[in-house]
Amino acid sequence: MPVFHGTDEVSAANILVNGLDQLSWESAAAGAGADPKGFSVTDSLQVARDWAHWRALERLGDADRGVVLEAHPNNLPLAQGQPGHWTDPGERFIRPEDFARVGPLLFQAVP
Amino acid sequence: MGFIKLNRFGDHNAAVFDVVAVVEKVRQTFPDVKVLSGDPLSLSADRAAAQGAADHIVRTLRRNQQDYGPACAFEIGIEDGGTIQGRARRYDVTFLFEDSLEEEWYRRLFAFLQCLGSGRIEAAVDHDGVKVGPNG
Repeated sequence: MPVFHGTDEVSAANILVNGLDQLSWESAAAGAGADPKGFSVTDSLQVARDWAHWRALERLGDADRGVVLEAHPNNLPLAQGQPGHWTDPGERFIRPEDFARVGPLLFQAVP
Repeated sequence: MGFIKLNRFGDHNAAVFDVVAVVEKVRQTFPDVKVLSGDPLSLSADRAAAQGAADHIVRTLRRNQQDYGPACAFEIGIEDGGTIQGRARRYDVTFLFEDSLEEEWYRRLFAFLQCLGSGRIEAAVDHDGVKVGPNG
């Protein structure tokens, strides 16, 4: 089963081409800031779709410009929630110090 | 873009930031600062609720507000009319800036974060699409 990440189309394009990096992550999050535990993925396609719509609306002003990305969990350095690192149901995350291990093409866009 | 951040997240031995004290120190250090109204984490959750985001998204943003707040955002004016975006939260203090930021300004931001005490300083600058981390 893949894991999913929902975001706006600009951030999605950057992740597809470049993988993860902390600068892009910090820049995209802007005012409220990024979730310090890391880059979140979810087991639920619907949850990812909801996040894609919200991030696109929040950042680009158009909910239809959201994109859901998917990847195989065995290819990602995923961490689980633990006390002090709260997660949603079905959520796992990639810690910022592991971003360099997530290069281009590990994520694909969900049609 | 570039950023520089003092990060205490995950350091269980470090105290969290006193956001009010950090912002006061910002005011003293950078006279041309504009502190933005409202807590950006709270505003983010409020916007999501008001604009019809899914309930689980609003819950997550409220949880983030509780876990990572309080937060405060501010802007520091610089000589060429640009601004440095600043943000203080419970576990981190971050500056975001254009990659053309002069070295002297970068040094001032770095020195400011150092004076706040313990934590990891993280930084990167994107020079014409080439991302440069703290080790060059």
